[in-house]
Order: sequence, then structure tokens, then C-alpha cells
Amino acid sequence: MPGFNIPLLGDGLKMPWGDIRLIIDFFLGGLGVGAFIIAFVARLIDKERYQGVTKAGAYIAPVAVIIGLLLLMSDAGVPIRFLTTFFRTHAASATSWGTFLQGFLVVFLLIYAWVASRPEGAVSESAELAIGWIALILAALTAPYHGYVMATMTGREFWSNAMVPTLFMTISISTGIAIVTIFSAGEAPEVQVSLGKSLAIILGIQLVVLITQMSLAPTLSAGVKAAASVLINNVWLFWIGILLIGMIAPLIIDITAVRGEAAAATGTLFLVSLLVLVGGFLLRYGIIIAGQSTQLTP
Amino acid sequence: MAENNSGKQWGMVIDMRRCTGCHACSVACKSENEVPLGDFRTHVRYFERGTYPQVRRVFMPIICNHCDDPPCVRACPTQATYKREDGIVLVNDKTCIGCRACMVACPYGARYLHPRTGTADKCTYCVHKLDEGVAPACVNTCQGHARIFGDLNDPASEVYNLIRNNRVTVLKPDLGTEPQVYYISASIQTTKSEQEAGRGV
Repeated sequence: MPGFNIPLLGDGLKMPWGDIRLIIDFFLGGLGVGAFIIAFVARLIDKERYQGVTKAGAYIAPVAVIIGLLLLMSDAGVPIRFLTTFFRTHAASATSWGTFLQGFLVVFLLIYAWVASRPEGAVSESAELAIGWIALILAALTAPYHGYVMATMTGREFWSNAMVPTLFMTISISTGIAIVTIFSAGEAPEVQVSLGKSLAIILGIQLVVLITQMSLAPTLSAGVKAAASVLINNVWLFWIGILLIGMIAPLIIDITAVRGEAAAATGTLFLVSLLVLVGGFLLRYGIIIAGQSTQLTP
Repeated sequence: MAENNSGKQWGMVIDMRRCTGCHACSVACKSENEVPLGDFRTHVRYFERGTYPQVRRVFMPIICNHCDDPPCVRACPTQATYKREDGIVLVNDKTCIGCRACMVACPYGARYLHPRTGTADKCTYCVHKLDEGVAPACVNTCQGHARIFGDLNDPASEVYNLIRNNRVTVLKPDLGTEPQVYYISASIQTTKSEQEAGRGV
């Protein structure tokens, strides 16, 4: 298959969704909507205090989502026909819904980014809130979307459960908070600590969902067990990359940092965010590839 | 075979008692449909069964199952993949965008992305021949008459009678896709070791 396959897992098998561009799209799309969700929720909590966070999320979100979508389009066999998905709709296809969901999302993210770039008072608060709420709803629907599409794929037993969309939603939010934290490095330490606390909570939930998914695998069908084994047996990817570097280490460091002095936590949270981004990417990659590693077995 | 396909349900029986795994079906298909190197619309897969020292190697011809409830049709965002009234699942290469959703959705690995067109491709039961009243290339070429093709709704057809008079099975029946390719005497059940190895082909 032409493209940029990265067969660290399941080598020797042709994977329809094995191209790095698709995996980056899933990662950036999730990161973008996660960044917007945390930014707008922060704005709803305290507009003045989190002004910098809101701006960071508002700018990062459309850029990440659009880059992801462009990569996805370039990965299609006939990229030029990609826009026909808006005209040739199919109600039964989750991918068809996703076209509209992400299409509207991009529009509202761009409008909100423009609003965020305007001077205070240039756009009425009610208009800003209305646009933000619409974008928030679209972002909240997009956060689990890729996992949902995967869960609808008949025969990909590892994906066909509610854990995968849930896990993808948590990755979206954790990586979103991480990227916003990185771009909020100049904000007050208290603001960064708030982000750090949010990150610790979502990272904890992400860890629980992942452990539930993987620990249940041996009790489910042979296909689920086989796919989970492919992931678990890769020590570097799963145990070191995803669990240790991407989740456990940042969670411990994060909790330690936010419990200490706020001013001292800022540099640490930058490092934590980088680790979360690496872990989020590797986790998406691992789930996507492992789920395709056993399907040819009749 | 008639040109009027109304009321028909095309299907295939693969009789493993007669199949020698000679790959003639794969070659005939490739030749007939200009299937590119490295890709297949139908081919013979090999499996190892059992654990040492009780090990054997078995083979299984694989082809699109033209499922009655095809997951590929559901997955396609542009309706480029569709099912005809006579049960044949086809891809419209004029509207397919090559997103591979159908390939991921297919539990049988029966699809590939054509490197020249960039669109999904798969077995069509040689529909261009079928509509002229000629059986698919793999069926015509099978030296052991292991592939039998016909109308599953026609009580006079060979496939109809083979299915009723033999123990037949389909691939992954638990998925509810209702495949329309039936196997006689197929060693389909995969072993634990194959599943745990993460591959079966």
C-alpha cells in the first residue's frame, strides 16, 4: 500500500488505516477539540483569569483540526473527491456524519478564533458566548468521534465497544489541556496549576479506562484478546511509551507539582504536558494498529 | 444464467473436499480483472493448525462474501459501495473517495485499494461476465469444480441443493453479516495459538 505505513505492530499485515497521516489526523483532531473544550470551559469559569488560556485554545484548535483534516484528505485514494462527501451523504455511515460534524466544527472554531483575536468589546459577549457554545457542543461530539467510528467497524473486535470512544475522548481532552498548558507558559502560576489539576483528573480517568479495556480483553472474544496481546506484548510501545512515559510518570509528576508551591510548578507542568502529548499519540497509534492486527483470521 | 437478475440471489459454494489449493482461481481472477500485483480479489490463504507435534497446514480460498448485511456498505460515506438487488456488492469507482472505511469495516479482508484508481476494489463475481450469462472467472477455471456459483433462490440450481444437502458453514457467522459464500468441509475454526499470534494468514 502506498503511503507512510509505520508497522511497529502487526508487521506483515496490510492495514487499511495504517498510514501515519491518518493517525496524525486522529491525534491532531482530538488535540484541537480538547484544546477548545478546556479553553472555553475555563472562559466560562472565569473570563478574566483565564483570558490567556482561552486565547491559546481558541487559536490552537482550528489550526490543529485543519492540519489533521488536510492530512486525512491527502491519505485518501482520490483526495480531490473528498468534498463530495458533503453531497453524497449516507445516513448509515458514521464517516458521513463526521464530514458534517467536522465541517461545522472548523467553521465555528475559525469564527471563535477570529472573535478571540478582536479587542475586548469588539464583539458582543452574547454573540461570543453563542458561537463558543455551538463550537463547544461540536467539539464535545468530535472528541470521541474517531473512537466511535472505529467502534462501528464490524469485525474489529478490539474496537467494538464503548471503551474505545471513551478512551479517545479522554485522550482528546488530556492532549488538549497539555497543548494549552504549553502555550500558556507565560500565564500566572495559579492559572497553570489549575490546568495541571485538570490534567491530573483527566489523566487519571484515562488510565482507568485504558486499564479496564486491557484487563477485560482476556475475558472477551479471541479476537479482542489477540489484539490486546499485540499491544501488551510490545514492551517499548505499551509499557514504556504509553503507560510509563505517557501516563503514569506525568500523572505522578503532575500531582506532585500542583500540590507544591505554584511558582515552582510551571516548568514541571511544561514537561508533564510534553509527556502527555507523546503518550496520547502513542496510545492512539497503539489502539488503531492493534485493532487491525488480527482481522484476517477467519 | 439469465440476464434478468430480478428475484435472484447470487451466491457461491466452495467445496473444500474438491479444492486442492492450486491458486488457479486467484490467477484467473487476476487475469480477468487486471488485479494489481500484491493484491487479490480472491486468493488461497494458509493456516497452521494445532500445536507441536500435532501440527498441520490447511488452506482456505477467500473471496468477498457479498454479505446479505454488508458492513462495507454501511461504512461507505458516499454510497459508492452498494448492494444490487441480486445480492452482488459492488464499488462505484466514479464516486469512491478511497477513504478505506469499507476496508476497515470488512471483517474478511476482502478489499484493497487499487493503486491505479485510488479506489476500493474487490470481487464483483465478474459481474461484467455474469450480466452476459457467463459464470465468474474463478468458477470457470477451477479444475476440481470446487467453486460452484448460482442462484441461491433457485431450487433447481446446484448451489441451492449443495447448501441443503451438505453441512455448510460461512466465515464469522457470529458477526451477523450473513455471508453468501458457503463452505463445505472447511476447517474454519482457528486455533487458540493462531489467535494469540495475532495473525492467521
